[in-house]
Amino acid sequence: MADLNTLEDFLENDRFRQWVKSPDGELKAYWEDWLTKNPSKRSVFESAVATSLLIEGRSPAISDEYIRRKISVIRQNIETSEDRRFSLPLPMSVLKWAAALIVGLGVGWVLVSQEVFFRDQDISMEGSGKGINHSSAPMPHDTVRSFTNPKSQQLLVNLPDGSSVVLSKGSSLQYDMHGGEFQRKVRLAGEGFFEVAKDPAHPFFVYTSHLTTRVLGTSFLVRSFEGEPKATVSVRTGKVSVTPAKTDERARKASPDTLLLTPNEQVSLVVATEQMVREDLNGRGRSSLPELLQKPKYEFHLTPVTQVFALLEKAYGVPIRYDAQAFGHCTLTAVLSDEPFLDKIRMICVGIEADFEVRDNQVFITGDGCGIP
Amino acid sequence: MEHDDDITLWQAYRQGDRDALGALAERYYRTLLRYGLKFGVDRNVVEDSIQGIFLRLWQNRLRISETPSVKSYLLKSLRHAIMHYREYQQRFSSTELSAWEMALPDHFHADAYLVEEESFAEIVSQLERQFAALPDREREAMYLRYYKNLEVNQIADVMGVTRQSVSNFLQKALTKLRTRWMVTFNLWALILWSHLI
Repeated sequence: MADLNTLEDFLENDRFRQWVKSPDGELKAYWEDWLTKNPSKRSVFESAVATSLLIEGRSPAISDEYIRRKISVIRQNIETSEDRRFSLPLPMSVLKWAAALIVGLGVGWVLVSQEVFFRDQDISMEGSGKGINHSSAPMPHDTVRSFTNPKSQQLLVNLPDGSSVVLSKGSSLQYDMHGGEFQRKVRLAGEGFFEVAKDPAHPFFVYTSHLTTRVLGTSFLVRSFEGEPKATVSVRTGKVSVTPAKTDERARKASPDTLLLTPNEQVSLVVATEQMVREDLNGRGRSSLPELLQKPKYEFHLTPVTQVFALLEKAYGVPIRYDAQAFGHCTLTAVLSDEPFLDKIRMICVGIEADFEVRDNQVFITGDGCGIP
Repeated sequence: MEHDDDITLWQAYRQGDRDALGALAERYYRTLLRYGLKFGVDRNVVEDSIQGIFLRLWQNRLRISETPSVKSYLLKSLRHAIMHYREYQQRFSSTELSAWEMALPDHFHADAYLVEEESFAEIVSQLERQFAALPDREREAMYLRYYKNLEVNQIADVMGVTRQSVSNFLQKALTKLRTRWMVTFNLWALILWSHLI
């Protein structure tokens, strides 16, 4: 019979560990016998039992039936996985993969802040009665489309090239369709957060009366309200070129026409003198953005998809409708960056194997969900 | 306890035998779930992670190598997944994660464990206080060594630290628990002695 004197002696003893796991098992007699022969060691024996049990700790009851169901899900996953090799079977894997690609493109967003108003003040803006006001009438070939957001909540505008703009209160956006085609040129009065679809062959332009911002595919906030003495452009990641729309000949000569901004840089345009000054951004000046749009990228890891939807709703001001019961158990592992709103929704839907539809400026998510089997 | 045919199943799975991987999942699901729940994350997270581990094992089977211990391989994978999750969680929220919990299991009955209820309750409450002072990794090392029956080198692998660190964790934890015992014994001796005189 083993000579057991210390706590460690017991813990290291296989017979002891085995018995603690099934105290009514075959080893019970052995330890009863041991205790009768070693009455002086009862105290250290009890402390060893207590230690073992505390180490094991409390854990929820897990029935065999429950385990069986879990295993059958795993077996099913393994079973069906090969048939879908190219789309990767696990929802979250698909998204991870898709997201990695997007992040790999190395894009970023820029923050443009300026107090400017439209040069063409005579352009008429559509009023917004009940929310988002995409013109619903069929469009003629050459036409101007306008959006205005008089509400305090932000207004999402999805552009024909897939880019998205979140308009702040009191802001307007306008673009032309030439021969039925969107030229990737928009005019802004007020503040708008842009997430531009990638298209290297066709740069995207945002015109305000003091600054023109040119990007290939990135995201940025343009702020151009009346009454502020300074206009700023700040870049988080990626590169963005900013050109002042100078009216004064001397000012045009005094500073370079175009500034190329790199991450964490900011350019300030003093409206009165039309001078541009390069500054370090270091996290200032984007506090007005919704949480989701503040970081260059947003990582989710096994995050309940309902949480992700809530963040999107808040950031873009668009209601997302879904069956909370069906999708309540879905989790998402993904990196959301500066892809346009509809691309984000598309990515998430791939991840949770759902479909989506945009109606009346609401997003409707449909699908089987991820019920706990 | 480690199963002898783990390695056989592992080899079969790597050669494309779905049932072999299923059998391993069956064998270790409970072990993995219990371990995962120790990290203070939601049960759904642990279950999702386990499911993900087996699916990725299947998808990557051609790139998976032999392993000396399937059990520690799986525990390590789960730990890794949960640590990642916690890292992300902490980045986005300030909520404190609960510590590695140590409490008496619900199935405890004094009779079954051959202990005397009163003295045992006293021991437990003292030990609980003692355990509360241990760092999480010392508790985890204790759990893997004395509950999961892993060897020191396997624990090192699972926790991603050196063997020496694991030995240190265990020694430190045991020393702290032992110290308390000596104090208690001395106290008893003192009381006994004071009664005698």
